[in-house]
This record gives sequence, C-alpha cells and structure tokens, in this order.
Amino acid sequence: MSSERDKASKDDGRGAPRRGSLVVVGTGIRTVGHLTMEAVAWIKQADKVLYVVGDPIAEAMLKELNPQGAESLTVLYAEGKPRIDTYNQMVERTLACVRSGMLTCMACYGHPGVFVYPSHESIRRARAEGYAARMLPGISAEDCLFADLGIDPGISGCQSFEATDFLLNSRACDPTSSLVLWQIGVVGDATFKPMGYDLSAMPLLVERLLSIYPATHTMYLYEAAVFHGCEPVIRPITAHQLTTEPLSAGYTLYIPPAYPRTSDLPTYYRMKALIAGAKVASGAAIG
Amino acid sequence: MAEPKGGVEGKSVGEGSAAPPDEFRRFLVALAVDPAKLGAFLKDPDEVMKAAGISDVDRIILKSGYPAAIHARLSGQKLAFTPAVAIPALVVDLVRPPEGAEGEAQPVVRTSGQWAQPAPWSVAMYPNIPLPIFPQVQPQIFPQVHPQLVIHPQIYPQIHPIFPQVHPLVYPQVSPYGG
Repeated sequence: MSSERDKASKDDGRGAPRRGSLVVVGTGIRTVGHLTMEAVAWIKQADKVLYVVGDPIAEAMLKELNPQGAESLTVLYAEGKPRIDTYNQMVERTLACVRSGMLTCMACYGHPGVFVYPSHESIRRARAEGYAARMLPGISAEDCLFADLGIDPGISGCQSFEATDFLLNSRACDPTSSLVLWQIGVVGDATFKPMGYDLSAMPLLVERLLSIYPATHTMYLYEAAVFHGCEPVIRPITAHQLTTEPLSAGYTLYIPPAYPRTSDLPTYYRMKALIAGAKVASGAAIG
Repeated sequence: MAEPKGGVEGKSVGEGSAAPPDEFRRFLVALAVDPAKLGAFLKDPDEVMKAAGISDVDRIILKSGYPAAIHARLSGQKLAFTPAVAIPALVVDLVRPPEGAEGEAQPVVRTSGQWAQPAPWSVAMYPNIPLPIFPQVQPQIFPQVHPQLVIHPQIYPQIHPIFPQVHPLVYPQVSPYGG
C-alpha cells in the first residue's frame, strides 16, 4: 500500500495531484499470438496492472512486463461464492486504484468487453466519477470460434447468448441462423466451483433446444486452444447428449442453422422499385 | 525434488542440456510480446528453441500439442521421460521328450527379450498427466447455408439519402411477385 500512496502522491507537473485513469485491455485467448502491441504498451506503462487471466503464460507475461504493479484479481474467487460478488469486488479494487491517482490497467483474458462484467462496470463508474477510462479490443473466444469452425456470421447470421440467460429470459431464437450459447458448462450455476459445476438445470436447456431444433440436429461443443501448437476442442453432439457428456466450464455450444432462410420477395421487389425510382428521380433532376 | 531420470539406458534425455526452471516460461513470454521472435519460432521452432536453451524435454512438451502437459509444465510441474525399464516376459515352452523316450512334455520357463519402448511423442511418456478425455475432430466439418438471394451490399447506402425523394406511389405500381 505504501507504493500506492507514493504513486498517488505524484503530481502532474503543474503541482496539481495527478488524476487516475483506467484502460482495460485483453490478452486474447492464446497469449502467444493474440496479444496486441497496444495492450503490451499499456501494461508496461501502467502504475498498476490488475489482471484476470487463466493461463500461466499470460500471468508470467504480465509479471514480467510490469513486475512492480502486477496484481491478480483471481484471488477474489472462492469456492461456492456467487460470481457476482467476486465481480463487484474486482470493480471496487479497480476503482480504488484509479481514485488513488494511478494509471490503472485492467487486463482480462480474451476480449475485455465480451462476457466481462467487471471491465464494463469499472469503466462506467470511473467515467461517472470523472476519470478517463477506455477499453481496447482483444481477441475473444467467438473470434476463435469463427476461425476454427469456418463460420462466416455474415452468411447465415449469428445469435449469441449466455446459456443461463438464454434459458431463463425467453430469448427469441431464429433457427435459420447460427446460435452460440456461452458458458454451456456452467448453465444454471451462478457460483464459482473450480472442480466442476452443478449442471442439474441442463435438462431444461435440452428441452428448450428440442422445442426449436430437430432432435437429430448436430451441434458442436467448442473450446479454443490456449497454447500454441494445440488444436481446439470441437465435439459434434446432439441436444440429448448434453445431459450425458462431460462438459468443461470453458465450453461454448455452437448450433448451425437448422432450416434455410425464407426470402421476403415482396420487400425485395419494393426495394428494387425504390432504387429504380431513385435513379429516375436523379435523372430527372439532372435533366 | 530431484528430477526423475529416464530415457535410453536410464539417462535423462534432457540431461546435459537442461535449462533453468523458468527458461521455458520466459521463452514463451518472449514469444508473446516480441513479434520478431514469434515469427522466427513459427518458421523454425526447433532452431529457435535450441538457441534459447530450451531442454529436450521442454521442446517435446511444447511440440506435443497436448495442453495438459504444457499447462502442467508451466504450473511448475517437472516432467521427464519415463525410465527405459526393460519389461521381461516369462515364456513357458512345452518341451517334448526326445523321440522314442517315454513321458509327457515338460514345461520350460525362459525370459523373452524386452518389450518395445514407447515412442518419444507418446502420451505414455508423461504418466503424471491425465489423458485427454475427448477425441478431437477436424474443423470445417459442416457446410454453411448459402445466401438464397444475392444482393450487393453497396445498394443499401444508396437508398438512404435518396429515399425521401421517391414518390410513395411507386409502391403500388410494382407487383410483389414480379408481374
């Protein structure tokens, strides 16, 4: 804490106390290759680097780039503790550093703005208190999924939900587009459990999926590779198998489209007419 | 804790070229933050690892494509090749008595030669690492549904600024089914 006070006591060169600020960066899914140059620069420059990363390379990298300021936030997790409590503690710790005048860098694995509540909330509250705060993009698991499964969301469209949110909040689903369900291996369990989550609610999710998709429709369990040279996990399954197959907390469920799209011909012809009419109007204006 | 020795004739394969414990981790961190080093590694991983002083064992671990082994190594677990223990097998032969002699065939016990060693890349070389639970399949395993109605995306921006200029009477004049 003494070093934090020392840093907070620095002035901005004009005698006024230096204002703290926050920058949130992502370390990517695979640290070797996904880390951006800008993220490296901020990590090096920061007075304090608060991090939530999963792989040992990322942690070693952060400690090497900023040996004085690197501090893990993963110690805030505890067995059986509601994750939202942990996230709020992360936000509090981050804001405490910003308020003390430090250039604070929050580093999260993947994209720091994708399925990361503490990063968005820290930025929102820092800005509300008058501090400069921004987020830099990183490579998310969804980016890896598109690359590894060969999916172009521009072709079939893509819906993306957190699995428990999809189950509980009556999310509308279009089976003619791709569907990505995140945290399928944690569905229904809002606590942190390092040795496996309670998946008692999985039959409800299966029931929901079977009301949308044919029972034989092939889905894919996916987990991106974390280390260089390793292959991603891609496991074809059916909805029924979700209740029997072992699931990792890091799994994502990708569901390809089950039906072709339906063209809206009336709208198509109306659109063509609009364009033709616009050409006529512009020609008349020129004439 | 002493690193277990193994390999051919009981000699550790990494012996003599063993890097300091953190060299492996430091090497991977360097790859993460230095694009030039990563580029050299992608081009010739063996040469770059050798130049960085990475031990033979660590080189095999990194090239194994086996996440659990890499994670275990990075978490401080020291891995080594399993000792090259010869596995003797007892073979029982039934030896018939010489022709003309009486009596039944007698069992004679002998030892066979040693069994084959596991291949250097075999998972069996890392007995303290759990086996992968799931078989993996190749990516790109399902076809995508192609667009049924191809409309050039550049059409859209052209509509917006001109839209108010189009007379609404244009709509009823166009049959929705192209007639």
